Amino acid sequence: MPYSIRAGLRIRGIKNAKNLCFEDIPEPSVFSLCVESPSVKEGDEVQKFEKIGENGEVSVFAPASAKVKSVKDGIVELENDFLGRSIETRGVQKPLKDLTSQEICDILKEKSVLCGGMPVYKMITDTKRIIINLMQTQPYLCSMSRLALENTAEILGGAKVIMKACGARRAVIAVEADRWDVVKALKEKISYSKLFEIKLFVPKYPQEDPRQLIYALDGREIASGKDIKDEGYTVVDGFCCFDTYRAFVYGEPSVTAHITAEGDCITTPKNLRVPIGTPISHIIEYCGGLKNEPYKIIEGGVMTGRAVHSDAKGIEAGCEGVTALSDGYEKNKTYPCIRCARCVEVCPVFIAPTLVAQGKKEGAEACIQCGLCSYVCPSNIPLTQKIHVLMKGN
Amino acid sequence: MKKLLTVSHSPHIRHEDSVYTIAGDYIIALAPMAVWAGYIFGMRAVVNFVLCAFSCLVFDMIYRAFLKKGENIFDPMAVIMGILLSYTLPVGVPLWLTVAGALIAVLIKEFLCGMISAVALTRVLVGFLPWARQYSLPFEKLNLFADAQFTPTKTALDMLGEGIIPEFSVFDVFVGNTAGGIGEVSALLILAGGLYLIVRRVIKPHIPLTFILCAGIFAFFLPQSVFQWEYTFYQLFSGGLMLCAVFISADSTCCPLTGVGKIIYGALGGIITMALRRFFGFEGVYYAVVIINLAVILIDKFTLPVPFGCKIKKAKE
Repeated sequence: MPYSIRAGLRIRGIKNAKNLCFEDIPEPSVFSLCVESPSVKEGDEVQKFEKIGENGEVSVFAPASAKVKSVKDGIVELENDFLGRSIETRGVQKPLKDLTSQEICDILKEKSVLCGGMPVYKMITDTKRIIINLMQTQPYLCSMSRLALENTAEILGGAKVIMKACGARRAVIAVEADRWDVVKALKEKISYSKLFEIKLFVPKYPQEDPRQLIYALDGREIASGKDIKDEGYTVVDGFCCFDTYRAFVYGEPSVTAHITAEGDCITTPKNLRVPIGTPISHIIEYCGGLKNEPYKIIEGGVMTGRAVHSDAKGIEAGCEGVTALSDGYEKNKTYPCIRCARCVEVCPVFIAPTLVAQGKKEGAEACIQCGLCSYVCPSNIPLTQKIHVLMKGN
Repeated sequence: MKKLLTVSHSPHIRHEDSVYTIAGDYIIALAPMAVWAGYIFGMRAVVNFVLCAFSCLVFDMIYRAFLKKGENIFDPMAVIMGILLSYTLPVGVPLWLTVAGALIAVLIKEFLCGMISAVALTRVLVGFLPWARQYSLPFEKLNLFADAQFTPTKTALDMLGEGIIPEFSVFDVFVGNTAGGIGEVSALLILAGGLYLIVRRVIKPHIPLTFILCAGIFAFFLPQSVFQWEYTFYQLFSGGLMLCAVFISADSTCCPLTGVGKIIYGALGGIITMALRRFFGFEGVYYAVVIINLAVILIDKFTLPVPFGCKIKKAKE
């Protein structure tokens, strides 16, 4: 019986790139990275994997050997010199069973492994409940399941490192209920080991959110103000496990993003491994260019992604896709609320979005910005945006 | 890239349902009743129906154009409201009353409450006038544009209230071969329309089911005549109960937001209707709808779900 949350919605969206293998794109000539406090200046020459600055607590590493073209406004532009020089990296020499939890966290901090934009070492706690999230329920995106099919051993290896750091002996792997190919690939690698338990979840939309996974599995509700770590859970996703494996075995920090380039304006949708900082225009060109004039280009999925101003922006770490949409997916006019209660039915955190957006009820702090309320509203009211404004106002 | 890219807040796609698809589904569900009304009551019924829908739309557009500047002028739900209002009125209603009723309904909709619940309140207000209470026999054709000249007849409900067995059979009352408001007579077509709306996910089955069930249970256990089953069916199928249960109270604007709230709302509606009919002796279903619409705020307050993670906080307080 697959697990499921009570609310949420199966969004109809075809995953065109479901059966396509990952392709490595040729390196672009310019990289554009968002770095808040850079440690390089104009004219410096950097090698691959060299640290070039920090973004809060996260370190940013250069994705290729390049020369720094400009540093301003928090964006570092690198000009690729195609020489292929990189820093020598060495994996961890001690076997896993001799490493302590503190040593593992130090290595994860040094190599800046991220899970959903946050550093992973902050999520590790002494717990028995670990969930490895291999779900991607937004329409169009399928890079996580492709990674699970092609690099199964690396994901499981990284998961074992995280389990050792947390001191747990079992982990739950969350897979979408209709992806039998992923389940088969995992079972072949796991065979008779008792470390992992595969559990199926109905592919409803916000199921990939960590708190929704915990709610579907155990029935515990963790409000968005509280940390999952404090309640005794650790949720990591497939990309993070892959990066952990690369950090431990090869000593490489994560400079690659696994994305799906999709949308009805792109000629051929593909699954790609791109270095961070690659401009979106380079990715679109590799996929055959644009068929139509795009109305929007979105970095990320269509439900939670951010629309970009120009296609020269570079991909950030942890990005899952690039979507180019034409006009016609959104409606223009807004009508008054007809109290049809579709938003109330579909909200995964049980606030009543229509009342909260009109200011008649509190509960805006619990919103996880999944976007389902705006998606289903027949009157086309931008509910997610209104609740976001209320949340920021408080 | 020649044109500028649009930058807006996520989500970037929308579900294909819109106010227009909902209104379209309502029209498909309500159309068979207009055809049946034309068949048994003649062209006069169709004239009333078209006039009411049209005048509701026109008044609504005038209101929106002059008093609410800058918004959309065309609201498809105004047409639905006009259609439902005409269904509650008898065929002999004079044409000026139809237009006046449409005006009152639009005013109530814009100032007090939304769309379709304005129909119930309008029917209550219009129902004080004698023309709105005189029903004609089926198949008795009336003049198209003159005021009604016919022998007023009693509905099955009135006869039951007086204690005599109605001259229409239960089957007639179910199919619609009886006297009443032009859309209210055929319980069969109303149920078919309601089923279509439920299958298309425009309304949920909670309200019609509980409304009819509670009214039926009340009628079964407190009958006024010896024949319990027949009495129950007469009460359920005649008068405005079916139309109210399926269309007017299930409308989204004045019904509770949660499933549990809808069940309470439907049950209250059924009980109040039957109480007004049985103990006070008049057709109380529209009054019942007005009363339960007023209670929706209370029902919502007690049945809305608690946000994520706040159950523990509430329990501690």
